[in-house]
Amino acid sequence: MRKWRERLRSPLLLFFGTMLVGMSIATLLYRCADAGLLTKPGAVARSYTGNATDVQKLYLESRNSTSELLFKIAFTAFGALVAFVLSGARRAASVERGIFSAAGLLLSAMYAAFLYQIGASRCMEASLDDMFGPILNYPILCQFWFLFVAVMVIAVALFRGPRRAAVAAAIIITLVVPRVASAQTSVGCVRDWAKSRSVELPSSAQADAIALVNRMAARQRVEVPKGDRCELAETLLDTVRYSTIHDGQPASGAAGGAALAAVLHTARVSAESPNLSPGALMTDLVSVAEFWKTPSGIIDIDARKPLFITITDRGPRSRGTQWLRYTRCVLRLPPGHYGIRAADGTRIVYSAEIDLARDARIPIDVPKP
Amino acid sequence: MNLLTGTPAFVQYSRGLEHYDYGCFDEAETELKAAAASLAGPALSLREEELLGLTNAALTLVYAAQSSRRGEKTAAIAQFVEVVNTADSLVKLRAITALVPLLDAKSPHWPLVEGEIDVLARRGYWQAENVVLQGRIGTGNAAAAASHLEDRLRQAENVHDAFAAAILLAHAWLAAGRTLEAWLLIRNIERDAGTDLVDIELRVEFLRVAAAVAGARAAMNDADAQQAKSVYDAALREVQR
Repeated sequence: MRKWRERLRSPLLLFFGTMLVGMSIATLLYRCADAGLLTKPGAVARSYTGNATDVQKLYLESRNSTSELLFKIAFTAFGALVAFVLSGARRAASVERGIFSAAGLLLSAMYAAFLYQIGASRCMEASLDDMFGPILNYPILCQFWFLFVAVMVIAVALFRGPRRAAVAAAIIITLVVPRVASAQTSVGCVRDWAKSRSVELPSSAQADAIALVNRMAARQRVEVPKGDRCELAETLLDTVRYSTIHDGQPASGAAGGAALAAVLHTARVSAESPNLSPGALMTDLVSVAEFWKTPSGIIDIDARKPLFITITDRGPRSRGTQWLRYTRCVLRLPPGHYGIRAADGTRIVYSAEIDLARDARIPIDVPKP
Repeated sequence: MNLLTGTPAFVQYSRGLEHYDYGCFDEAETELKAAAASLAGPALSLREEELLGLTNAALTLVYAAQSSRRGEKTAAIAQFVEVVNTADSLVKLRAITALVPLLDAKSPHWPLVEGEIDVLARRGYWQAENVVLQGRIGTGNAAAAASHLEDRLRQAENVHDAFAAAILLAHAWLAAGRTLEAWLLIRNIERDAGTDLVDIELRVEFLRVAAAVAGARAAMNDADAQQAKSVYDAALREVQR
């Protein structure tokens, strides 16, 4: 029994064990992502011409550079470990086991980079819309976490003592994490947005929504912190939703989702064209995106049923600028004094004056009329 | 494009407002009642609910105008105030402009009306700006009003906006005693108004202000203004017939 336990803890077995487990996890996730593609095989969400749009090129470029960076770090770390093992220095058994386990994880990270490349090819062959889905995200997540855990294992093995290990890990994390953290709007943001507005958004529309938000952010050169990406999506998508309802379309449910999908697709095409179409919706989207470049606050208005919202700038120098939305809605506006009115039909059911400060978030829950 | 545009209810609602603008209140009432009947149904979309709300507000506006015509001032004021208390719309704008001449200086409705007018005027609705201008002239602040409108003219965003600001400025200059400047501005507006001034209501307002300015210049023995005044008066009579 003791002999078996010793064998199980042999460095070489740990190396193969961690590598196999890592590769299995990466493969399993990749297979799941492949099965849950936004565009099912044989079903074309929208006409596929094979020409990548500006936003798709930007997105792929960003994902490629992240995967490449993680691969390079893993490869360099693996080379350093091999050199360390071949150096012939005497090491404690625990250090030996840590190094071999980390090496297995680093190879798994490199394998995940290979899966990413296959995923990218898959998107090129099937539908470019799928690049926004998990097929490219999962391999990169695997790359990152295998590398991260490997680094932690090395830190613990080499720098004995919790304090020294923690310092070493903190230094490595500080160097690696900020470059890896991606600032793209996720499918989760769009799903949460649709759910909170009771809109059943088709999956093809989710891809359009993500592409529209990312394109508007890139076009207007908006640098949004990762934590605020969903708020950027909310402010832009609420603008599209207002335009759809204003056109007489349903506000919620499957019918609302279908109507919204059509407008989102048109808006995405307009946003991706070299010259921005000067329509009212695109003008509104540009002005909403502009507020992300200046110090501003957030107003979040919710109600039991969709109400017509009028927000009027009541600042002393304002020209009475108004923003019109339907609840629920999130707006980012410059600091100032605003009048907020909610109307059911034309009957005003809520009226308030607020002072919005920089970086403030004012939630307003309109009571039942 | 708004998908409600072109629906029978929307057409009837628009016709109702048009009849109201021309003072044909009975016809306006018929059209608006028909619009409300077209919209009666259990499952209205949000926009249809809004159109129904606007139609009902417009009906109240028409009832108020009918009360006013019959000389029932108190009833008319109450009905106009009811419309002023609805969400921002062109119906509300009409209610405010109709309500202001009915209110005496001590009316309790002034705070409500002033708050609403201020927003509408800032947003460039010239009718609301005109109400604010009348108020300033009435309180002896014509010079301040003129100064504000000079800024407004400089910041005009389109042709219609520029025409509206220029016409109101001419009126403010006239009230401030700067008749020559007002007269030169009127002549300047007149050159382009024939082809570029498409808002019927604003054209009527232009004729009204132009006739007043020409009258003031004519009183100062300006021969050109005397001749122009008779033309403006004749044109005004034509459009008001």
